[in-house]
Amino acid sequence: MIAKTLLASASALLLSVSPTTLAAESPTDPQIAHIAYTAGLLDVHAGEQALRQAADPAVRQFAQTMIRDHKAVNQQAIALLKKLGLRPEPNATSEKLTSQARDTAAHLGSLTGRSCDKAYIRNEVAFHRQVNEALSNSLIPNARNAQLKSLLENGLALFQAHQSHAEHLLSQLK
Amino acid sequence: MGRFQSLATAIAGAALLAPPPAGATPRGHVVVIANMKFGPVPPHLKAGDTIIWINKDIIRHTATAKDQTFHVDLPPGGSGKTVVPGPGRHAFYCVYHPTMTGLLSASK
Repeated sequence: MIAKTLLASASALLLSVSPTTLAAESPTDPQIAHIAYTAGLLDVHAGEQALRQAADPAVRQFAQTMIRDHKAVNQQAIALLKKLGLRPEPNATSEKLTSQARDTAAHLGSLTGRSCDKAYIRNEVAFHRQVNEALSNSLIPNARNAQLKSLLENGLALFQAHQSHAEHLLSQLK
Repeated sequence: MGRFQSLATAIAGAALLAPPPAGATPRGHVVVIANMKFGPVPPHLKAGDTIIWINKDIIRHTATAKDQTFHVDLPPGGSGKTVVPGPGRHAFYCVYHPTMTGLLSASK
């Protein structure tokens, strides 16, 4: 149930959140950590939903990559937060991500075949674009801890590659 | 001391960059992957040389030739080895992150 809720949230985020709403004004490190972790977790769940529904082999491989990569980054984040003694702080932004994603997951759940494949990838483009803008414009500039900032910067490079991959994939889907 | 060291470094660097003599035994080279990019590919590769791919990222990558002449899976923080294929230009990429690309050129 929790997974379904998060999954729903992840997908809804993709279409309905504008870049400026993805991060609070001057978020603190605990808030930044929570936002980044939540975004990763939501995309893992979106990928898991895609694996249950998607048909196109390239789309399925993309979903597997999203699951593997975001899990790896989040594991790294957990290890860093533990080392720093930093407790992620739930906040309005991460709650919004979670609640808004629910609708999109429900929408994806109603689709099958190619329309589902395209909707998932289209959402992935929007999701990564929005998260990348939030990372660039708010989360990274406001991160105070150097190690957290570095992890976010590495995450940005990865998520930019994901965005480009998704954009290319979307252009290939008929 | 400083001048001698600079000269020695320059000579050593020139030796590394110079093409190997004809009939030389296969050599080893290193390509480092970091921050979602393939690092520089050494020049003057010869067919039969070995490339060690070092993945410094926290996610899995591959080094895969588009012409299917080599492929190696690279776990996070791990490494793998491939042999430089026949002479020519070989474009390569990561199958999981296709925007990561590179090109190696090999001679006989």
